[in-house]
Amino acid sequence: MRSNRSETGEALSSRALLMTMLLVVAVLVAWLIPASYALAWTHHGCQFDDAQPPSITYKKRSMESAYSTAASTAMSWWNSETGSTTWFAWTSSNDPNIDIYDGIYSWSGWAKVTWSCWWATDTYVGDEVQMYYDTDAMDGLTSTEKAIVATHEFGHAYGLGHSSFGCSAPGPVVMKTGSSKFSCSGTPPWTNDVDGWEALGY
Amino acid sequence: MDGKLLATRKAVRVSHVRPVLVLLLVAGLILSVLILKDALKPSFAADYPDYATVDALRAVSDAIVVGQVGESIGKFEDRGGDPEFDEFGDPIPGIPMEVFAFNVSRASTSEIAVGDTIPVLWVDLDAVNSDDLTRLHPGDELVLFLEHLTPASAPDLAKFGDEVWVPVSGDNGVMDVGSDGSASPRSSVVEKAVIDLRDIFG
Repeated sequence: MRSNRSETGEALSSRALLMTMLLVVAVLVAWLIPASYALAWTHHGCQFDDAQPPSITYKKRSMESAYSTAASTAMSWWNSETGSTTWFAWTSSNDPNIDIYDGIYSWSGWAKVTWSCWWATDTYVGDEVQMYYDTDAMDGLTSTEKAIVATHEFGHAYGLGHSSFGCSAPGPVVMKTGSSKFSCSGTPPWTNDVDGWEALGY
Repeated sequence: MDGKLLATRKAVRVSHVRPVLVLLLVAGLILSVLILKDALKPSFAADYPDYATVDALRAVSDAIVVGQVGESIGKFEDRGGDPEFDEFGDPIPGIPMEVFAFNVSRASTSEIAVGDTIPVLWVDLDAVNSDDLTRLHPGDELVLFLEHLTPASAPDLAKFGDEVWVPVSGDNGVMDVGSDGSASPRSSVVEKAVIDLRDIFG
């Protein structure tokens, strides 16, 4: 009788283990399948945590004036469209949310952003966001074009991913790579970018 | 008697199920570690000019080459000429880069001879995740539209010599060579999905 109970117990624990394994596999599959968006904006999967707003701090690291101005213009454009003047705020701290650099980089492109993400919450962690403007690659851009590129990079900092749409509907979208966004009317971020920002829940 | 038979059957079932569950558990753990390893890496995104045609790519390239990706010959952090540490002694982050040997079988410029091995830069995708960049694998047969970099144009490159090359605008400047001699752009920005090599080299 004791033997029967013990074996039944083992069968039950095996079943529990099997159920646990199935649950783990289901969670992994759900995590691995990316969300599909039928919208002009996308999210790259990481963002500032809820505690961060109303102030996302940045620090410019010995930047040339043209790129410092571009970054400032981009932040004021974002702040204006998101209805706040305090989202991006300068800090003298050596541990800002966003570090902004410029220089001559070997990678082909105007500007880059890197970020570190805590996978369990999809929020930035550690040194959070770094932004790099390539003074050589961006040299030929006008001051407005430099600011548009900077607006694109701050979109990444918020958590927006790249978009494939151009100036025409459902665009314009500043998160499209390349020069086509330079010819869209008005200044970014455009309605779709702000929709993407709102969907991040800041 | 029936009870004993039932118990024996259960015991047999348990003894078969348990090794399978243990194997599943181990496989799940290995899969989780592999996924977590990738999830813990920083991410990378960039904004760069894009080129929809071969003519546009050719116009901005210093060289076009066909050849095979060789081994990785080095990695470095590209800080755009900034020092390793800032004035507070904190490390300045850079963009992780990898240098591959590329064995040239055809070139558009006399600067590069057939049979040469040239260093080609790529973002180190072992160190960062990117939704926009594909990997260069040793053995890949590629057409590369290249920009010539010198230590003057990218200060962190000095240790790799004077002749370092980088594909124009990431995947935009990379095409896979098929067995029929055609090239398939890795970037969807390029209008044609398949391009004859004769149209690239003229």
